[in-house]
Amino acid sequence: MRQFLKFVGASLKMTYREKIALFWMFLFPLVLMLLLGTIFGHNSQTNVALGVVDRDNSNVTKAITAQLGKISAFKIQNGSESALKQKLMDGKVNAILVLNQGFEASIFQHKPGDATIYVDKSSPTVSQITSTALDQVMGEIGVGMAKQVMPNVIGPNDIIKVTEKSVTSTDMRYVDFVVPGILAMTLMTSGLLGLSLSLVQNREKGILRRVKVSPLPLSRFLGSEITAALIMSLIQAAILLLVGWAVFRIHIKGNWLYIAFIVILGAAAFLAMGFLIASVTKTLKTAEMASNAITFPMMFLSGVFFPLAILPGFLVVVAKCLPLYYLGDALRKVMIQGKSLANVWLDILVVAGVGIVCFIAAVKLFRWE
Amino acid sequence: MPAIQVTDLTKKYDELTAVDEISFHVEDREIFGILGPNGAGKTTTLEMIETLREPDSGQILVEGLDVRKDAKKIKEMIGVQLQTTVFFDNLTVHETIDLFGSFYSKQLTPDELLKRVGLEEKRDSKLNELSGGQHKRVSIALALVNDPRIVFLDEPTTGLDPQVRRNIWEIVEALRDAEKTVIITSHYIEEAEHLCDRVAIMDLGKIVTIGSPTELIDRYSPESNISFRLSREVSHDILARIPGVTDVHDTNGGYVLTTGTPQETLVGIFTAAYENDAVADEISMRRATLEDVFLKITGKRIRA
Repeated sequence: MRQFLKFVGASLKMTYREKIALFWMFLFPLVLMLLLGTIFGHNSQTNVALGVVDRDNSNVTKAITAQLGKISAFKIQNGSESALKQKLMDGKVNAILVLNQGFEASIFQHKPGDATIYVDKSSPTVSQITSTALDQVMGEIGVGMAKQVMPNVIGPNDIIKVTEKSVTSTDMRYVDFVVPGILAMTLMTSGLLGLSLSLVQNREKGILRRVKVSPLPLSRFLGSEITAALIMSLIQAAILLLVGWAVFRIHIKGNWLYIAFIVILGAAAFLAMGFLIASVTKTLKTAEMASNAITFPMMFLSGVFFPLAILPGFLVVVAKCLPLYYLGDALRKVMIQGKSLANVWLDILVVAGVGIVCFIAAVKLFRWE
Repeated sequence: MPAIQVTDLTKKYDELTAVDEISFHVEDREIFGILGPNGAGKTTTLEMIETLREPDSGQILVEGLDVRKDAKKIKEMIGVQLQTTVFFDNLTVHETIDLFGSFYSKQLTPDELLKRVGLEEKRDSKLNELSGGQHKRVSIALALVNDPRIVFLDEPTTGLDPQVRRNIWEIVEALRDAEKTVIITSHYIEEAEHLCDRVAIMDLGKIVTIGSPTELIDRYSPESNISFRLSREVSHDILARIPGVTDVHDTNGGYVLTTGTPQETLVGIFTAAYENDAVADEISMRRATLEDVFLKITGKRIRA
């Protein structure tokens, strides 16, 4: 135990004195979080600037316009059709809803009202989000209309009731999405790079041989290094979440023990992967290259920065083959959506499985020199 | 019981036989040297005894314990200085010794060890701030951290300048006073002659001979070389008749006589000079060294 604590202490001390490593472990993820959070998350939601042209100018269309205005996702702009179309082309408006003449009359005949939606197809994500949202809203308006019997009792609040619903069950903002993602990414990079590089370096320098001629068993040597790395991971997670909370007020709904469990599980799995890299590579250079070859694709393809939904189909398949996706998913669900460990059993299984397989392979392939 | 008993030890790397059926023993509390050129198999032999490498065949007993069966016990009672060791860059000298000490069940304090190797003033320096000689001294301190009975020093002075080398010799001599058994490898002849009670000379994986330095010189190369100048030329025949002389040759402007009985020959040189109206000058005598022994046995020099 005395050996163990001393070694863990020495490892932490060495990491603390390695200023470049500290930058990558702590400052880099923080900067990344602050940047992404500020650029993409300054409003609570992606707002859609919606131009509305009411050609029918009837009670029903006025009611619809008013109801649309109550949905916080839409920023309603009024104006002439031509002016709005110009704004659409300039990107100042995301979509235009034109309620055509005879809208009210059609509704009263229990036919769908005639409306046109203009979107800018050159920015596909925005136009897709907008038209989906509008479709949904208009659909609900239609249902509300159909229930109406008498035209003369129509008042603005009677015709339609629009309830705002977010696509996910809880209201998730971009920062809420991205902070768990960055945490997952950080656990991956420090796990992969931290242990593998120091092990390979210590082997190259002959330090491992010096340890081997002492009675210290391999398991205790590695155990101490892994413990020190896990402690660093927990500190990283704590700092990220603290800053995320202080700056962006991210909603952490999850149980702290669950979060810590997922953080340690993820860190351990990627440490095992780093250990495997250290076992199969010979020099510091190849270890670095191997780590980068693993971290970079995972960083961009695992949906840690952006939802998988915006990726093309085949990349979604790729993402689901990468362990980082599962770690990000588990952290997000447990932290932000407040789910329990049972809800993310698949994520836990995949991450733990990858870790165990890597660890067994690494121990089998480990070399002292 | 000898401190170390090695019997028929062999180690092969692919085609190369690095160590070829060697046998020797190291007495308790002696300083035992393994001398030989690079690639002779010195380090491989040492590392097999240190439990770092698995022998292909043969037996090694350390204090009566078999390295194959009792590696852990052996590790507790030996101290090892490896040929190339670089330490953790971000720890201080004191922290490094303290850390390695914690690997053993018995541990001397870092300050005591630093005093023994004369590095007290570098206590709080980082390892990457030290000179080559200071580095070696830290690695010797690490070899002593568990107060071992047997200390292995693998080329402790290679690459150091003569002054620093002498400092290291003093540390090794202090180990003799501390009643440690020391095994040291070297390719410096003076080092082996100066420090070792007994020396094993290795070449191409085999031990060519073992004995104390004077014993070996007496056995293989008992002659001394006497070189001198004469004020006028004297024929080789005359010089060859001087008592004890076994060989005569010229060096630039002078002569070198090889003799097994130097005292007798010295007198003879003066007599011959006197009889031939010459004055002998710049006389110097060089006794054979282990280098000559090595040359005699293997036909080559240790440091080619």
